[in-house]
Amino acid sequence: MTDLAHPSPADEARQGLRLPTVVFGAVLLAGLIALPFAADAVGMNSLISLGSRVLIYAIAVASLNIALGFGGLVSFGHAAFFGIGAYVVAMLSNHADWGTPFLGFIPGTNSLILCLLAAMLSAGVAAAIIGALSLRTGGIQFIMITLAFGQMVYFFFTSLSAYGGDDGLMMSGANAFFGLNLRNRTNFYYLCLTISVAGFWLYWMFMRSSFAAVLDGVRQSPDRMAALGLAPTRHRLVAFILSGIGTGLAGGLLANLLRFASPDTLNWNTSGLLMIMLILGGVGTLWGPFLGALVILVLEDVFGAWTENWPLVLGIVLLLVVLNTHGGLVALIRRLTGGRL
Amino acid sequence: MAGDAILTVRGLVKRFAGLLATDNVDLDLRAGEIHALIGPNGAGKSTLIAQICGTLRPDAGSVRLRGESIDAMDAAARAARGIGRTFQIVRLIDDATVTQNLLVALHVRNGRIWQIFDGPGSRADLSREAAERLAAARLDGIAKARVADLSHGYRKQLELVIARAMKPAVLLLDEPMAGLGQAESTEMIRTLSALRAEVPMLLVEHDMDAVFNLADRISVLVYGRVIATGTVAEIRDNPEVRRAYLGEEDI
Amino acid sequence: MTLLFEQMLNGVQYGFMLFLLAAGLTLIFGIMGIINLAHGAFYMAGAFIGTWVAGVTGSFWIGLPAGLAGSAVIGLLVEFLVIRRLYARDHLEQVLATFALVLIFNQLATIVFGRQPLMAAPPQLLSASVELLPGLIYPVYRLAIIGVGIAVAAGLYLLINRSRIGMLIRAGEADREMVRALGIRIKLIYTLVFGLGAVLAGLAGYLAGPIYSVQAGMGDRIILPTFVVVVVGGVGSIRGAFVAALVLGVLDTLLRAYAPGMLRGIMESSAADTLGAGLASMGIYLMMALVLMARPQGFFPAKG
Repeated sequence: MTDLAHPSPADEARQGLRLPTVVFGAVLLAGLIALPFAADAVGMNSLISLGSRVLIYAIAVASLNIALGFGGLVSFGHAAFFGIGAYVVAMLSNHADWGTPFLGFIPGTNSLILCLLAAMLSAGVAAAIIGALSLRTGGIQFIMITLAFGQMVYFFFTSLSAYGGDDGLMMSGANAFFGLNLRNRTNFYYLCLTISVAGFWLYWMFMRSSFAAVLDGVRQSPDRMAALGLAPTRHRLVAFILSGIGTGLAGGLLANLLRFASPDTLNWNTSGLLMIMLILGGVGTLWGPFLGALVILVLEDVFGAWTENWPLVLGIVLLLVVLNTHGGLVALIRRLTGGRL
Repeated sequence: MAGDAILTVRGLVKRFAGLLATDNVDLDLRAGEIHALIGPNGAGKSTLIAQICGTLRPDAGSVRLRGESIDAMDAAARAARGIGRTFQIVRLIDDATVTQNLLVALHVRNGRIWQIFDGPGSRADLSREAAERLAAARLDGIAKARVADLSHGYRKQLELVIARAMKPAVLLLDEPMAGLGQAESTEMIRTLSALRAEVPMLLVEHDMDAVFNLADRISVLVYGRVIATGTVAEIRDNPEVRRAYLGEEDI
Repeated sequence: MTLLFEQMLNGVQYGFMLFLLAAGLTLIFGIMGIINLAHGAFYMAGAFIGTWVAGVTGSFWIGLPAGLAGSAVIGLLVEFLVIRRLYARDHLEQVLATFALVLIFNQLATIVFGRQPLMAAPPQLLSASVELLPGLIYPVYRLAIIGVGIAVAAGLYLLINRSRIGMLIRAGEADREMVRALGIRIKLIYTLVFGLGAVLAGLAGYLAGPIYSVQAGMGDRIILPTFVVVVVGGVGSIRGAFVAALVLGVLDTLLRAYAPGMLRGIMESSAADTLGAGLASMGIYLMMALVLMARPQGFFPAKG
């Protein structure tokens, strides 16, 4: 039961587009489009990669929000889907290099589209299995079980010595996409931006959907939904699978950005990090996932440059945020702007 | 006026730690009737409702809806089959508006629950129906209010509107008058009375005025057993009932 | 055969380690309704503080109370500063706040003690080995851990079933609201239970020192299997934690000992070792999945 003070998730979406939201979105998009030029102008190329990372994590956090914010499913195992996405992409493109089929029958490929689709499919299947088992329980067990399954996936991938084991799996280059050079950070950034905008639009559609409205009912009042004749578990499972698919996509993009599938993506700390971004940005909100990813990754960049104790800073910030605020950054901004955003 | 049995309960037994909560209960709910279930606190009324709804598994006995056994179904499947209910403590989606609550119910009723990327435009028909139903129940004034902010009386009324919107075959009402003020009670009695023709109701209620006002038949549950079933007059005159239960109250 | 027996004993010893952690964790959840991801921090605190004091004084027996006291102090501080404010919060906020503590404590341990593992040795008294069976020579220290585990299990049984505090604890499991309604003293009970959990974890950490390595992040490695123990045993049930800890401890140890060897029969040996180790690590999670399919609430579902 999550009675975390959401700024009423479905509400803002159901009301449709209001002018401040449109203006905010347009300004944000213009800023994101302009970022590579600005970075060039000030000679800080690393900003472009940071921008790509923010967009990728925003996709993952928005996906987590589908399970956590709308479904009320506090998953501490989303690193599994993130990592599966990354590993599937790296494995397929390595097999393309080696000229051997994956698992003996799936041909390797270096096509970005195929790799990302495979990443989403694999993460979706994993989410279906993990979700079906974990949803047999609820509350605190659900948290611990998703955490444990996440660890299981971690151990699985790090035990595959053919795919790098503990060291992770390098890729010889980024995937191919219509002759576009994705090693170029600006190109890759715009690719991420395009996918993010499309994903954001789907996410917004999702928030306004019938499914989300029913899911919101399942989260808040499962007894009421059962009395209406709705079996809550199926809805939760579908939400969990959708969430896994989106997170897998983000993982696949991250592997392309880093040209490396890292065991760190599977670590439980990554699950925690995605949750931190979500709660900081605002659970169940439209802009929260992006804002949360932006703030955390920028802070990490800034603090990481002059102290190696970034995790300590992150821990303290998180503790203060959880103990003292309700609703995260979006709620804060809404308070500051008098609810116009 | 009363017709065939829509809901038949036969031999329901439920034990809690050796205590019989329902002891071989038989009950019929007929088309067109309001059947009141009365009894002292702890008589097993809520336990019986829970067993009919499927939130509690009986140790023995069966429940049939229109002659068809629903024993193997869980609560959601029974509700989908036509067992509607309200709760003693109102259960609604608190952090949503009145209209949204009703809309979610209509979505479930029409099976429009898997549309993952449809927009509000695609549910204009349901929105219209919701508005009509709220207007008919004279709740249109609070259509945009958040349910958590509503008074207890409004919440009870909304729950009834929702239960009704599902077009159930039978309706189980768990203390619909509880906590209502005088005016709200009168309103609720009027609503339920008018609803009789639409759906048969099993009414668990402590407010005897309401029961005698509304019920076509009454069953009296004492210590998990039905000690009498009959019309209002029959129950009033039944000496066993008077001894076991009504004697405590001045009627 | 003796090797198998030795591995079984190792498994039992590891199982008691898990039990020391799981008992506190499940008790804290059962009574206070709090999920504490930072339980591993108390394990780490007991190990670091105890081992450091033992190193400075040269005595294991001075390190022991120091480690226990250290984990108790940190446990009580955490309860007072953070956990107390989480009772009325939902699970998500509890998880995030205690996850923040994990980040903070891991980093603090690195700052204070550095990245190098601290060296710990068993005390003179227990450093010998004994011949349990012909050909089976076993370290006394590991037997001592098993003994401590049994003593703690018995002590917890007596505490919960025979004492006044235990009565309140049981009442708290049955009806948290009721006990909460009894007033201010429940706060004291919560603090004591949390402190007890921290001390048990600290004890496990200190005892683990001579066997595993004492370093930052050591809590993470054992806390995840501990969660599995708690879930498989039934959240809130000490009896369940006891059974699950021993079963999973033995299972895990046997898999680690034998899985690579078995795989070596069918594949190249270095790959077999990595895969075997991976499968062994996954073993308890697979076990958890199987248990959940049969009994979603674990071995001993706690009421309330």
